[in-house]
Amino acid sequence: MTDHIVAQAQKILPNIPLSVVSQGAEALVFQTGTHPYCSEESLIHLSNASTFIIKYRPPKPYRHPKIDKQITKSRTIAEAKFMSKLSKLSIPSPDLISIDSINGVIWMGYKGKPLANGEISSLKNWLWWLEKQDDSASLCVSDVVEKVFLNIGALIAKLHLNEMIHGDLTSSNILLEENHDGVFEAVLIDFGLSSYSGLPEDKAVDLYVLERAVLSTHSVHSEIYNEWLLKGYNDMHLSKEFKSKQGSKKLVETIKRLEDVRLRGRKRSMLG
Amino acid sequence: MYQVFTFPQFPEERIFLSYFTNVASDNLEHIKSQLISANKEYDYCFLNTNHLVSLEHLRSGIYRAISNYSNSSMKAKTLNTEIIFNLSPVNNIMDSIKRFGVDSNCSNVIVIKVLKAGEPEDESFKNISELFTGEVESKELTDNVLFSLVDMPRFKKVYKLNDAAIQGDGTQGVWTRLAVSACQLRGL
Ligand SMILES: Nc1ncnc2c1ncn2[C@@H]1O[C@H](COP(=O)(O)OP(=O)(O)OP(=O)(O)O)[C@@H](O)[C@H]1O
Ligand SMILES: [Mg+2]
Repeated sequence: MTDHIVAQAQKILPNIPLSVVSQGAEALVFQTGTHPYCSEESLIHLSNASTFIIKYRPPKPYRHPKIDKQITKSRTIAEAKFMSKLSKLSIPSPDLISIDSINGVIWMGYKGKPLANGEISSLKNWLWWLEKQDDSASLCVSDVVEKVFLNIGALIAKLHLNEMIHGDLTSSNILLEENHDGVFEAVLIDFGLSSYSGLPEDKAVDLYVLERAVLSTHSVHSEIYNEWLLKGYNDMHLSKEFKSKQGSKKLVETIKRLEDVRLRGRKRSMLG
Repeated sequence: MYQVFTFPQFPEERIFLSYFTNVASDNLEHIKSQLISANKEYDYCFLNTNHLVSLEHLRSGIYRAISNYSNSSMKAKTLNTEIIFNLSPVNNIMDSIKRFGVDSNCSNVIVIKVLKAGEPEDESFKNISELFTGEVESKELTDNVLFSLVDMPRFKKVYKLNDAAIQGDGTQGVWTRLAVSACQLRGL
């Protein structure tokens, strides 16, 4: 199955070495060392000038070919536009390199740096890696981890304050990149389900999805992690930059909604 | 002096690029008139440097133009104009020619020719400087050259970046990222 899709991608991308990073429901993600239009690293203005990511949405045989082409095209464009909007807002996200919407291909910068065990530096892999260390009890709730969660909360707040909704906030859709000072900075990826909305409901659901993801994948410390996330989220709303832009009003509305959404979630799980 | 390069996906399309400084404005006016009358001797893509922030930015436009050529989805009549159109964030071919093409007030000129698959080696590019009169100089086009020549206020205006949340003056890298996404997403 995957082989067949890889062959399709290879046909669209001749002479580009492709290695599979992940296969999701909608897309196949590849890594490559080849840039589409700059051959020398010195020409490439990206934090990583030697590895690139290609996200490919293959045709879905169960959809009508004409409709399938339209869906692929519009989702590919929507994701690339969302990324571009984020760079304009200086919200850390992969840099767009090129887009071939007809073929469902987005070429973007590689974010993060493989962990010591070779895995992609997603929040999920990093926390799991910390849990496996000898000293895990103190590592998992260290200042470094706290800073990471505060930073993620702040990032999501920035997104929401610009009326943007991620739509699929999980700990694998957040990558960690070490900056020049050795501090981990969160980078958002995967905007396949992203949208634009100013509604407290949509923002609250976005937060709730992440809260649930943290609870299910990092359950031991999930309570403190979620507390840090919300603190980062709060602080950004009340920061100098956003206070004058109705930050505190928006915060109150969203948090109130979040409580409703949690309640709905609990009721639903009680009903089974 | 000229550079030749290709893109991995399109190994048969060879791109020739030269850069000239000190081009006089009457010379530029003449070139413009020859382009308008479609003189075959002037079958090149001529660009001014006012809105180009880096080589990566320039190449991203050439790349999209060649991709479109190879998928038969060009919007412009010629590949030369398609390159100009794909450097522009504005979805209007005439407007992009005005901003990115020959500008009689900009004495720095980039000349590009794409030799398509099967086209014989073009000797004319070696003599490209014959299209220029006076004290023109042919130089190597580098990232530093482009960044020193770009007219930042005009660049930001054309790419609608005056409201971008950029720290300080922004680096060449930051402006490159924003220009590249604008070019890649134009018209989509
Ligand atoms: N820019 C990037 N830099 C580094 N790794 C990336 C990048 N983009 C994606 N990845 C890796 O590829 C994986 C899948 O990417 P993404 O989430 O965008 O695809 P998806 O098909 O929507 O995935 P899923 O359906 O599994 O959520 C990510 O979890 C991450 O490990
Ligand atoms: Mg994902």
